[in-house]
Amino acid sequence: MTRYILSRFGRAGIAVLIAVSLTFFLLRLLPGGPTALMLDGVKDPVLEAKMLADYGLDQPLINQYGLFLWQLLQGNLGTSFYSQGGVTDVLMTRIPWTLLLAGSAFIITALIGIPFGVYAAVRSGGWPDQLLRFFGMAGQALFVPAVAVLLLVVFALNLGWFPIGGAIDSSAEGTPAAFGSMMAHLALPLISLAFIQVGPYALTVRTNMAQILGSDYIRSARSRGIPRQTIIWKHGLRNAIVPAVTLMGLQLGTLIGGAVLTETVFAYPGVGSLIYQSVLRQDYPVLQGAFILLAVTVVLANLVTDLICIGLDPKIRTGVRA
Amino acid sequence: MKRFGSWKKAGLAVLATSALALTACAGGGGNANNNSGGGTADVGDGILHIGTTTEVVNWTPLNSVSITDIWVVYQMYPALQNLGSDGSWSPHLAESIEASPDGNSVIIKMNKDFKWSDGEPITANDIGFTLDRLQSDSLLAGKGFIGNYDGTTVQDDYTAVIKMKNPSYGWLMDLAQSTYVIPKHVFESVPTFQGYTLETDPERWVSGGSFKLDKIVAGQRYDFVPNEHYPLRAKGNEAVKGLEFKIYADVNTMQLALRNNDIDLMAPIVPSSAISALESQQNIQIVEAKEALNYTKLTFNASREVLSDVKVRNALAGLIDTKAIIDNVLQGHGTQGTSPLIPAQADFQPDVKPYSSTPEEAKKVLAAAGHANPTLMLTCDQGNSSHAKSAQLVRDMLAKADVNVDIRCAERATSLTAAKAGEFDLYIHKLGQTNSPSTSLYLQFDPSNPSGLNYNFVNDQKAASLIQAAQTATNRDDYVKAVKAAAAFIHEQAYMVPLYAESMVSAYNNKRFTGYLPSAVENITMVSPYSLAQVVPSSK
Repeated sequence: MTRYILSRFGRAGIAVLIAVSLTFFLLRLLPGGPTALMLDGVKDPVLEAKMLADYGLDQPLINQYGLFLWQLLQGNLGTSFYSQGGVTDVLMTRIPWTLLLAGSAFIITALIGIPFGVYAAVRSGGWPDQLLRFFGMAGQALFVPAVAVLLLVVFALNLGWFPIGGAIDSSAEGTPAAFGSMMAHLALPLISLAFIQVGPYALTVRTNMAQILGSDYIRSARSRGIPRQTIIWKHGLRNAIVPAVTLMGLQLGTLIGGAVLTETVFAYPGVGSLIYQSVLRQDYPVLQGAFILLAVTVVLANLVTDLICIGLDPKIRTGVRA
Repeated sequence: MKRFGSWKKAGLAVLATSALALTACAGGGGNANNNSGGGTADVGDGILHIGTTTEVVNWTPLNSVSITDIWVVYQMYPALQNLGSDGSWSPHLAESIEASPDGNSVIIKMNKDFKWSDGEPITANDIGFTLDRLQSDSLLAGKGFIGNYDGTTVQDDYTAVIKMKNPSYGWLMDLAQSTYVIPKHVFESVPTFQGYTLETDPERWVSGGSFKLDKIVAGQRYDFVPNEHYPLRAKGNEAVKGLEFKIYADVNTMQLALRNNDIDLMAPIVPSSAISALESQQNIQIVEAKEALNYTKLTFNASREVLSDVKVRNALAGLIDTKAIIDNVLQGHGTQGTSPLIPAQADFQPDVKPYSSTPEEAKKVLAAAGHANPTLMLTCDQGNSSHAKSAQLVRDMLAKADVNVDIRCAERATSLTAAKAGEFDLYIHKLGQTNSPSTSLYLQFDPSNPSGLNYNFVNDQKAASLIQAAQTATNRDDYVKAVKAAAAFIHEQAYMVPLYAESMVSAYNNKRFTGYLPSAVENITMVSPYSLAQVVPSSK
């Protein structure tokens, strides 16, 4: 068991290193570089050389990479080319908002997706099942910004139920109304993000559950007169949930990718909108910091789901294959 | 039968959802308010909400060329002159700006009522300090003109005498139109602005504009409070208790926020495609400045073999129907130009005719030059939808003369890099034109200019000498004559086709406030300190 967990940690570390290295090199393949945009309308080789030297971009790539890894080991994510502020500080102002949005979407996806998937499997072929198939396909087919704009037009602009953009009203800050304002601003981005996640997730639960419910041991349990609810939620779901938990970890990456677009459309001040703006400016240190953060989050989430799966299914722990 | 029942339920659910959505969509802006009747509107907390498109990325005073930075940071640094919607300049911090009798200096007489937000008067020392630091710290705001600055003599507290290295009437215009003043007593202890940021130094948030920075909320907004000492505030402006620049990365979301009364004003100009939709809203007012100080050009890379022949350039230029481009791309919200000078610079226009040629004539010219059926690579910024659409129209227009245009528009950094490296034949790009006419020509067509950009990639000595003559003219009559001569020659050489000057179309929500003043440039729109000091509550 310990060996298994240690190997998982080892793999997670390697995954982070690969993600970090890819981020570093891919960003530097982008055409132009940060000085092209900073010096828009100005061609001054001396000034450009000074800027490149200030940012350390005049060094050979391998030296830049070595310095980057060394700083990273010391917990230093560097300094933004533009704001001159520390990347850690920049990220710290954004992380809480993304945690709130992506975390809520993650929880909502599980809370809706699991019961919905189970219900659809139990009522296989019925209208819940048909509805789930529709939402499952729609979730995969729809583009996040399209859903976001539709929600904004209907529920914010026309019905006036929610504000358009932002995370909190400035007038509500520091008052008892702050929580309500935050929730009102969170609602539409959360629905937008959860909408595209719930369908595919519930569909996975439904497929696994339908297989399990058709298996011999479930029929055996029924014949022994075990109550229907116990069969479904205890015997059925416990086995069907393992692939769904794995999927949950994998979907975190999609969720965060969706957050970049969602936060941009809803003017939500999280890491996603920071990534969008930093891409446009080619602010390498901020992008590196954000991607490292996201890579670590996804890898850790997968590690946690692996450990949960071990708890749920002893066969994984002992290496027995079905 | 059971299956049919299930489908019926699902169908009913879908119908109910659709009905809800359609009912919702039928509304014309839930919170829209008609602005009619007597009295003044309820302005609530009095905060004026302004939408901006991105965070401020460079908080170094006078060191950013980004429009979105200028909207916010320059609230604190007063301009010498105000720019109107027709491209004209009027006094602001400077009451008058004139050449000295010997033509070697510029004399600036200041409005004595201006004060910084900490109560200190704004004096000639501040102007001298600003120009010195533009030069010593290589700040980007002075890049285009500071090279000719030789020093400031403070004649009295409110009179600055600026000495030029080379006497120039054009430079006087550049200085007057490009200078924003920073407080000496605040920044003289900052040894250099390179690497300095205001963001983390709130003690230096001192403003000479109508509002002063008060709070930065990362990724969300910038709050400003009134500068009580600003002297040009309109009666009724005291109802504006502060500014809040809110960040909407998506301009479509910003438009929805404007319609929803979430913001009062959009700082960016309205895209042509969105004007009619906003115009139809009762709570939205559209303001258009037609005499805009910008030019979108089709530039020829004259270092390429095909385009090195002036006859070929002339023939191709004659195929471009700029009216069709304005009608199709800008829905008419633009102005045609003929010469290399923008239409707003009416006093300096040379007597030249628009380029004109037929496809058959162009084919003959190309064949005679040995370049029949050429393929030309066109680049532009894909993010600018007007440029991307113009590229397609240019391709279609040139195709009539069997010219194949390979469109290689790309995202901004890529297209800029390609353009600076000369990796194009045709380049569609936009230039702000807030400089004097001679400096505009200098920055575009003389490779020795301090910005070092000449997208024609040709060193035309005659053009350079004509521009130089304009730059060194010391009185207005000589200056106008020299500018016309330079512009006429550049037009003859057909280094570029002026596609259009895009109107500055701004939009504001009239539910709470009104009185904004439009301007002719994109980096001011309706958010200059002076404009925001004229805002008053709407009448009900």
